[in-house]
Amino acid sequence: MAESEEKQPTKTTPPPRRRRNLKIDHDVEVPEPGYAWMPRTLEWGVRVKPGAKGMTMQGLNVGIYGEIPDRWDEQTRMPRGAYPMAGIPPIGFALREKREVWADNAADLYEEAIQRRWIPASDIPWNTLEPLPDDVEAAMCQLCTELSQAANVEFETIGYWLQHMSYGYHEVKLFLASNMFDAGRHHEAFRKRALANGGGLGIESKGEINRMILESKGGWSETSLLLHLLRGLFIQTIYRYGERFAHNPAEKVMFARALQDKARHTAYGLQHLRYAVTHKQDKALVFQQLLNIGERVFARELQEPVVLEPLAVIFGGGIEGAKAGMREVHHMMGDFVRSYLASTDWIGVHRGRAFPKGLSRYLEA
Amino acid sequence: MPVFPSIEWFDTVRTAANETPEFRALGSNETNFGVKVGDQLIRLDFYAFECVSVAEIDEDGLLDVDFYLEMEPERWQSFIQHIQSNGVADAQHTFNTLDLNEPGGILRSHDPYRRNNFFRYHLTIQKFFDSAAAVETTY
Repeated sequence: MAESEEKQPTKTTPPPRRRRNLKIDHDVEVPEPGYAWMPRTLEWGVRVKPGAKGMTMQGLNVGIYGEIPDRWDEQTRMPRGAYPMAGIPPIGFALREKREVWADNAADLYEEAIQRRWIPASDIPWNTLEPLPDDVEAAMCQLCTELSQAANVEFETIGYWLQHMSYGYHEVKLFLASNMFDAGRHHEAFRKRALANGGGLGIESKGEINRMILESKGGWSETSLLLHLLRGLFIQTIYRYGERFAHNPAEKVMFARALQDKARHTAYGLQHLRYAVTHKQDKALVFQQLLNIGERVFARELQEPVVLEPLAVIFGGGIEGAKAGMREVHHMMGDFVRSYLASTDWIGVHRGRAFPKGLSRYLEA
Repeated sequence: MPVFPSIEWFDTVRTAANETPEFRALGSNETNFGVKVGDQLIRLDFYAFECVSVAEIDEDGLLDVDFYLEMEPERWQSFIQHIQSNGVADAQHTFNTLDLNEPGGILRSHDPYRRNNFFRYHLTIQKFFDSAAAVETTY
């Protein structure tokens, strides 16, 4: 087709928009610009340069922009370092203390989440899935149903808390936004696996620990304790074993990628919880009390067959091997419990004799 | 021809990895870790999108790294030879799988937060060792 013909408008092509004729605006009164906003800055002349990782959020923390107060009294959406405006109705953030949200690694973790992102639709080699025996496929689908729903709880929980965090700590808000997106990605990936190989969704557990996390309203730190530490490390351990026992490259990549994300969430949780414990005198005691309840609910829920049984079938290669598979499940739980107890120690919360038998029994594995 | 394990060998792999687009495409990272081959100890530092340095360390140096990977010399040799014959580590030779398969595991650390860095970057670390596929090696 000739070039001149290509440019002919068709019936379905709208005519090009025309510039307004400025002549017709002569009668409109335009106020003389005052530019009063122009000198309103607390620090000018800032020239941040990109480093080896590029232009990062942490790199922007220079001069007054890097001053992170212990308490953020501003009750508006004013960004940290911006010029304050009078007369803005308060929003009413509940979390205004640094110790309630902070982790020194938050800005770097956010950058890492963005730079190490992946796409389940195209990064997982879905075409490598091959038919599995019915019992193994059923177990895999059941596991993926649980993992997908746990990820769903994660992003809904963080979504609730984000709006309560003041703008003085934007690094944390940014990281948690990426944590939500990661959780959305995990929900997506595991749902896709359940529906991609001849199986289907299974059942969701009664969800006592899910409810506990979702309905935890005492504070963000308390929620993070349950979400990132107790349940988060459990999910991270399952991802590790998922990578080890993958049946095909698709599952291998799915669990390997998800593991990196989950470890990032753990990194925030550990740093934040340690910060909270070291900046508030009775926080360790509060966490002890909360874990006394949370661990027991968690241990009780493990008695439900919808997580450990399917794992035993996967590890054992089918129902026939499930007994041997259950021994591997005990190893997995042992790894989880050791990692969990080392982490509670690291944040300054020592479990000792309060740790429930329902979990400590796995230490023998 | 570089000898495994030696600074020369790890430096050669480092150059190969840093020049591999797939290695950089895995994203930024910030970790340091040890590789323990029998009595020999090598420290690797990763920053941003590359491996920035390799150095020989002693046992005390293990206290300064996030974590270290330990296998007997024969196991390391078999691991490297597998990569060189296969092109990349297959499903049974990822570090995570080796850690779960080997009695006692291969991943060690004195600090749970720093140990977690292995899981944050395990695909980058894996890809680094995959770069050994093209490095002619003697043992």
